[in-house]
Amino acid sequence: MQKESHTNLVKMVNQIAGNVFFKDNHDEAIDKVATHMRKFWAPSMRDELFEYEARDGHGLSDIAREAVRKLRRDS
Amino acid sequence: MLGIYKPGTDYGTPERVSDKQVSLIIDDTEVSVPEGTSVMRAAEIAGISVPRLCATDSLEPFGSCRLCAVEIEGRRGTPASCTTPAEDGMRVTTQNGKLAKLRRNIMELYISDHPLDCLTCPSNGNCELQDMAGAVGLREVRYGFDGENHLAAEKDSSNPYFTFDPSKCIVCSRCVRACEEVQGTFALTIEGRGFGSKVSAGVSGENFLESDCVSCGACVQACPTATLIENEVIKHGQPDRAVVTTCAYCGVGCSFRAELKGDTVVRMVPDKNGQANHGHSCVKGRFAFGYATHPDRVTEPMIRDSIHEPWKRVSWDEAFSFAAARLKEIQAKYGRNSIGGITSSRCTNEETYLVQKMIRAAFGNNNTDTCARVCHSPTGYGLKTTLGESAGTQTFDSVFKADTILVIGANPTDAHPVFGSALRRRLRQGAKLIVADPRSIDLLNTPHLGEHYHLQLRPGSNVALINSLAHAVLSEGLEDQDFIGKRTENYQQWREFILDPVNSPEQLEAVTGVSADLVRRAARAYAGVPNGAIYYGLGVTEHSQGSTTVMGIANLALATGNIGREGVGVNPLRGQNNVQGSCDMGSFPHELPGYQHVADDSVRSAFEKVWKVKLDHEPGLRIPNMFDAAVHGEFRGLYVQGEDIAHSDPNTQHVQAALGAMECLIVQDIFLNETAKFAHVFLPGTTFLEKDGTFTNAERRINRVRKAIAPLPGLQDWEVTQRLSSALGYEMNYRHPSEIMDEIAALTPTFSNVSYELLEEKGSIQWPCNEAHPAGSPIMHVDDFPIGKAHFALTPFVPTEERANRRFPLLLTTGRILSQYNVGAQTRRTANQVWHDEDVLEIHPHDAEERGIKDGDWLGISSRAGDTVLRARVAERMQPGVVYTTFHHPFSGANVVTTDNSDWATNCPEYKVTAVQVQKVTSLSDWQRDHHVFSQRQQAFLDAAMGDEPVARR
Ligand code: SF4
Ligand code: SF4
Ligand code: SF4
Ligand code: FES
Repeated sequence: MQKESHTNLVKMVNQIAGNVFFKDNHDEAIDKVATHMRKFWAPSMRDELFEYEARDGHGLSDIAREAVRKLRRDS
Repeated sequence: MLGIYKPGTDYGTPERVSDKQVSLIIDDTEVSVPEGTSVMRAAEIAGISVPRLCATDSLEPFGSCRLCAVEIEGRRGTPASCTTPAEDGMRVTTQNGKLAKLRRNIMELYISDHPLDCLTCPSNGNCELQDMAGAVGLREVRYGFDGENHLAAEKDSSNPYFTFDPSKCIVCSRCVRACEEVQGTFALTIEGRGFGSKVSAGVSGENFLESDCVSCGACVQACPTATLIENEVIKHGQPDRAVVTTCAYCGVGCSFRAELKGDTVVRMVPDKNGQANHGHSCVKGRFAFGYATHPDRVTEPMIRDSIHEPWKRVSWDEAFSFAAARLKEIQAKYGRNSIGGITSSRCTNEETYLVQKMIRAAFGNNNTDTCARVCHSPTGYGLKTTLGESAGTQTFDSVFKADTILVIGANPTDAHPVFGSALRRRLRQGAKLIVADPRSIDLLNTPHLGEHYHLQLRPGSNVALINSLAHAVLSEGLEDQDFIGKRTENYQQWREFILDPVNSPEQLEAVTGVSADLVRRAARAYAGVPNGAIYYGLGVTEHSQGSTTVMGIANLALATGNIGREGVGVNPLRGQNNVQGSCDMGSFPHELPGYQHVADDSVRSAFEKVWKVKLDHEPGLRIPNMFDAAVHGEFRGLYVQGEDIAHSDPNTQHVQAALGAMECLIVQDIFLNETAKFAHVFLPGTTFLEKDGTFTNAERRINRVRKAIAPLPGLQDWEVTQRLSSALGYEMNYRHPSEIMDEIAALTPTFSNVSYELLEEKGSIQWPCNEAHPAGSPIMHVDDFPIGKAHFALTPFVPTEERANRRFPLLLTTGRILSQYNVGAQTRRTANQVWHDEDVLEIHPHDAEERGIKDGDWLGISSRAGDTVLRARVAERMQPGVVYTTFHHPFSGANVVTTDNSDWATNCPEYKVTAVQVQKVTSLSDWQRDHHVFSQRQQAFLDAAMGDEPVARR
């Protein structure tokens, strides 16, 4: 069965969040995840995640979700 | 002698470095040399050649043949000039009647036990014995040839590349010393004594192939006679010209003289002046070049409408216009971002630069990536974040000043053999060794190895291990406060993070499987010496936390002040020849050449001015993102130069689905590789022997690649890209790769002084090479970092999602072996197959026994991604619970099993950890069967296009 197109993106953004989060740097981590996506992700990937987050958002970690929202607000 | 090509001067004994000079007089010529230099070398420097047989300047002198005898005023007898150090005020005579007679007598003895078949001997004209007989004026042999001799001794032709003919051996021991000193393998010995002594490979009764010999060829190069000689020289005769170029295999970047007879490459001889290899090489670079003229070469462009149709041979023009029209149609239909391209780490800098330029300028997007994505992209990210530059910090030679050498996730004796030999030499000199690897690698078997530690960690626990090493350093007060204070930032936060008990060796023992005591002893061994150096490879990068480990390594070096001078540093060992270069040249979708971000307006406008086109300011897709987009229907056209993604990239079935979804796949390669089986356009590529350009090795060294033979398809790869670009409407008109390099220099601040003229003058250049470093930078970060102060990055350990469980209880890790290279497209088409003609699964005896597995059994290997079948090799060097294989043969399907898990920061695939189950089977996997049918069909499509004509022209 073909995975839905956002599945990998959710996995990727969660992974980034997991790697930049340390103890109590919640806000800093959100910033870092958003910056990472802006610097390294193609716009089509970001757009797809924006759309998924707004529609469903299931599976996104807290920091990942916040970062996606922040990036959408800022772009 | 006419028609025989002779390489440069042999000084007889190695160079010595000393602050003190000594002056002496040799045959009335005064000469001044560094203290410790031999009389023989001093004489050669003065232009006086002393006859010799057992001495050569790549080896320490041995003093056995006595041919080099001289007279020294005030000394008795006739000392050997090779073993006698020059002294201040010495007066040396190298020629007089007495010496001449002595030398003639010696030569006479040698020649009396030597077959007199010079005229038919393959070394005729390039034989030191012959030269010396001439030099000492030997005219007749008084002993006759009837006495006891070795003339009937049998040849050993077990090695596919060279022959050992003991009848010609003069027992000078140069081969034995080359194997020990230069290569470090100790495969050869002199057996027996006196007249009965002879050279022997391995233990008695073994031939070269059965012995420990790794076929580096150092002994062949050192042999003064035809005793050890390349089979190609026997076949073609002595070469008559040479072209200096750079090996196209691994990231060591060895310099070679390609020695030719007419248009045939007779042999590759490592260049003594090569600044990366100093005259040494491995089996791949020296011997495995036959693929260049293999009949499988496809040398004409081909096109087809669908991958279910036969290929059609066409002219270059037709191929370019077909490809351009297809790409344009796709863009018109699916949008500008629906196509992209992949550059190759095997091609030259100039070729790579052109491919990314074409994508950005002619495709009009940033969908460019490179195979470095799947190997060293975490190095780029990790080192840029911490040290401010995406590159290793040292020269290879720096290892000779290291006191402790930490090797993490690298197997240099197999994957970077010439550097492996240098490392072994340093270890023999007494440096301490720490190896962090799940397997017991060959470096741990170095003869004469001293203090050493093997941290045999579990796959997937690199970050935990690095953090615990750093914890040990800080908790034991071994950090370099002065360096930290002056040259770094964010130390306090990092210190607090690392000293948290969760990062202590004691707590992490359960994760890494390495005892806390061993970690602490290793930390002391690294931090407690003046110079600690770290070398790492794909065992670091190819993990879900690859980038984190790279940052952890940089942190460790910074905390101990091991950056910014010789003997220390952070050294990524790059896999393929031009991984460094392909990254430098702007292959990544977010960076223009020189690691300059596409979102930076001033950078973009500089490129826009020169390229005369508007550039996209947003990053493009990376390789795995391209595959995902292809499977979901948004990405339809791809140009792939010199890479075999269908074989090398993880989760093969996903890759095949992506490639199958392409409406236009253009493959430029020397063979119809696995990827080309899915292609619509095939553009024939050229080997390194057929083109001009540069490669950049793992020490940032830019080396020249020089054309030795004409390109078989008629065009060099850079010309192909340029014509494709022009067909797309973006004109390129370079006349020579040097013009491309001039453009690179103009747009890349770290390259601004680089030019072909400077390369010609200096032999090679290590970037940065600009106004601040006009002659290049052997060691980086000496005074400051490109980001001012280096940055301590936090490196929390996050276990990979890929875990062993009841269904998949073993961890599979993949790697490389010495004789094969990457996907094997080149080495499988050479006699290197003798050493490794199939990929096998190595499994620990305990795991094997549990499953009733014996050596040679067929094993089914299944993971969450797929299944394949390989033969078993039960091996002690594995740890229980871990299995290992290589991916050099496409049919093995190693990457059918690997998953699409990847590094969090760069999407570099996690090749090193896949949870698998292994069991005995009797038939191939479904994928293997399907692949076989598919491959046969594609081969038939190629054969149909070729008709009866031979494909390769030579
Ligand atoms: S094989 Fe060659 S190098 Fe080795 S001892 Fe014999 S002559 Fe010397
Ligand atoms: S080829 Fe290399 S490893 Fe083999 S015997 Fe010669 S020097 Fe030693
Ligand atoms: S060490 Fe690497 S660069 Fe050198 S000859 Fe071998 S493969 Fe080529
Ligand atoms: S060359 Fe000096 S003893 Fe052989």
